[in-house]
Amino acid sequence: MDKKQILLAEDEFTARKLLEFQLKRLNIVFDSVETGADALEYFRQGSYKLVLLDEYMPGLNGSEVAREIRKIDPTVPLLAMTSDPEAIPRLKEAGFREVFVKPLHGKVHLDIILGYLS
Amino acid sequence: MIILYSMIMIQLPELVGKIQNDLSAVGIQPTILHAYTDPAKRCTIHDPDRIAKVLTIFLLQLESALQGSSCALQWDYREGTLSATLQGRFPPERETVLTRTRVSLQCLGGTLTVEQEGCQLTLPLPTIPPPSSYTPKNPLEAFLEPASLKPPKNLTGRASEGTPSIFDPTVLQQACPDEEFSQQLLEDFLSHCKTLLLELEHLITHGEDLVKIHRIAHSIKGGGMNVGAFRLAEVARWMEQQAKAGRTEGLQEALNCLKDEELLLESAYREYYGQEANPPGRG
Repeated sequence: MDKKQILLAEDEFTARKLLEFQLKRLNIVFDSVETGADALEYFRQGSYKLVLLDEYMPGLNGSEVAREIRKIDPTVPLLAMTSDPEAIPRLKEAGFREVFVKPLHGKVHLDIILGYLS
Repeated sequence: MIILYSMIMIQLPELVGKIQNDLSAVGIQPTILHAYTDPAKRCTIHDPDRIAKVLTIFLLQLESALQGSSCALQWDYREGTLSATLQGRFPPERETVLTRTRVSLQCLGGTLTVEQEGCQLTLPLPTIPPPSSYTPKNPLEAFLEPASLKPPKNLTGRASEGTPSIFDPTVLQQACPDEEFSQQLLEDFLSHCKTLLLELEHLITHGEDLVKIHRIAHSIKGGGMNVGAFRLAEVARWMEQQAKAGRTEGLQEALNCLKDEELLLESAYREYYGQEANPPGRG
């Protein structure tokens, strides 16, 4: 199975569409899902270099998905997105290597993602 | 005197038609311009408070522009009718009942043009503060700075002086340089937002499920921030915080405000991308 570069989980559609647009422009191959449960399902069935998870999603949130992914693959880099800056310490403790605070204006998040992929 | 209503932003085709008829009946032949009459782009509001608010601002502008005239607006809840009365300089000493009709509105904002004796005066609408006798019921008052209550002269633009912007197009331009994509994303967001507002209305009317309200408000906030709709996002953020704290106070007012902000956003968006331009994917 081909190893895709990124698994993206984001329930809010404008954020998801914008990220998809940006990733496509960078020629990054990705899967994009809307829920934590779907993210976990995709991760179990696929292979990814990087997982980008929104924290606040219906059903399983980003931290819960990350915990399950860690059981499957302890090494894959996990990146979180949140609109709550106060959640950063908690998300770091949960094992996310990077935490992006939404809205993702600018290109810093893309540079960081590219850094992990390279 | 000829009154020109340049309906750039305010869409009151039915009301304007009535005004035209009423003025004609008392010997005034107004020229009324409809610059934006595509029915597909209109939406109907049935909330009398919001209609009254919009029209009150509009008529206050008219009153001010005509210098010495006075306007009054009444809403009959039982009959669902709106009555606007303009009294003043044209014709002298005569009261003109402008209209008494059900109306549909497109949105807030707009331009009022008054032409008198060949001299044309164009006013951005609304820019004149309401008189002290007028107490706006704008629910934004509860959680935004008073300065932001004054509708902006220009609907688009960056936020300034701490006032959230209705629509800042530079946000999407920076995120993605593809204008067609940005336009489609905004169209999708506006459509999605209308659905979410209906869901909010149902939730607030039927028992106030704060968990769901919190989630929807969070979604509107996030989407608004992503597309540069900062005022909409700010109201949604307030609602999100209320719901998160388990408070139900002000949710209905916030919902009304969200509806207003969504319409303002749509107007600003259409203004920015051109009113006559077809949205992508719609021919």
